[in-house]
Amino acid sequence: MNDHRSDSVLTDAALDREIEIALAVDPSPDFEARVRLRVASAPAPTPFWMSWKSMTAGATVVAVVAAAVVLRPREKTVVAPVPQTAASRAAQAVEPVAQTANPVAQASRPGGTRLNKRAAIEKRAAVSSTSRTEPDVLLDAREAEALNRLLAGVREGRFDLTPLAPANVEAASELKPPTDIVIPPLSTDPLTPVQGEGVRQ
Amino acid sequence: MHDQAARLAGTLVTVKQELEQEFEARLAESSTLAFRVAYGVLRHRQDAEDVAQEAFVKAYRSFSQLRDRGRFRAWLVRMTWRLAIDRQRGERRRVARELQHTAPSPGVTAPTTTDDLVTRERAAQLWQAIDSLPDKLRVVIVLAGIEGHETSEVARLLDVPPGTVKSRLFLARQRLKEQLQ
Repeated sequence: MNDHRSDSVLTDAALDREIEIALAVDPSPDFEARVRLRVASAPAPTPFWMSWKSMTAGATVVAVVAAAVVLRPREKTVVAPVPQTAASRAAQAVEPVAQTANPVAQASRPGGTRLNKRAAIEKRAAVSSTSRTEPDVLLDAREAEALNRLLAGVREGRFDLTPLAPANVEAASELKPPTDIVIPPLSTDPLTPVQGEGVRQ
Repeated sequence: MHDQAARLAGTLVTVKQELEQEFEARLAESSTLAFRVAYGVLRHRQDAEDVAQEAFVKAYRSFSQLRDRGRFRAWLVRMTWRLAIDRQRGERRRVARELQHTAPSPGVTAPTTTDDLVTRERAAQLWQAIDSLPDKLRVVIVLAGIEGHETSEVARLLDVPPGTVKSRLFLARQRLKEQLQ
């Protein structure tokens, strides 16, 4: 054995041949049958798109999309009703009269009708906004009651406030009676001709 | 609605049948390869068959992704090798298995002459030398020895460049020759 090894140098081909012979062992005849038996008890293979991973991923995506659609915050565009006061209603009533007052001017201006409508809308918005934003006068209830009693007393003549008024001040409500306007007639002296003036030269 | 469900069920059954038929074809053409890969590590027929069976069962479970023939063979070889190595590391009576590697396969008579004993001893030395190789060199030399696989085929099975296979084969042969000569 040792002589055999020392006489010949082991070449790559010889080595490969030895390994090939050592590995040339066949499985038992019933090997494939036993594999089939073992595989038969295993769960059947499913297509990739049917695998539990892909199904789970798909179900997760669907759930996320559904949640996003259902829970999406909806934009509420509810406009609070504007409390219509008498002033705003009157303004609204006036607007149409003002628009038709000068049809000639409207016709001469191109887009005049559009501008008037826009102005009306803006005015209505302004009125409604002022009516909304105008603050209420806040008075103490007792103060308000006292003022009301005073005014009632002055109307009924129970209170005399003339001593409180200054002497030289005229009542603002009194107006002077209107007087006729006199326009003096115009008089002009006749022109005296200058010597030589007017003569043809 | 019912027609669609029935059609879908029919399609699924057809797909499953196709998968099973394809797997049967892969089993027929790769069973010896898987066995010899396991045998190249374990050198015990029964253990090699167990490991090869386990590899096939795993391949069956993932077969929807391994339908391509080349891919299936490569995956099977790598899985079988890994399972065989794991099993070898867990073995306690490794010496007994090294002695059993020369057990006669069906059709081969038991050694009775001196030449047969020499052959057995030579094989034992060869396997001992192969076992001493690092794992990367060992798998290359075993695969190259199985059915005389060419470098390109080994590279495809291991999913490494052919140049890598060549250099590893060269190193493996050098070390084996040093040990055997």
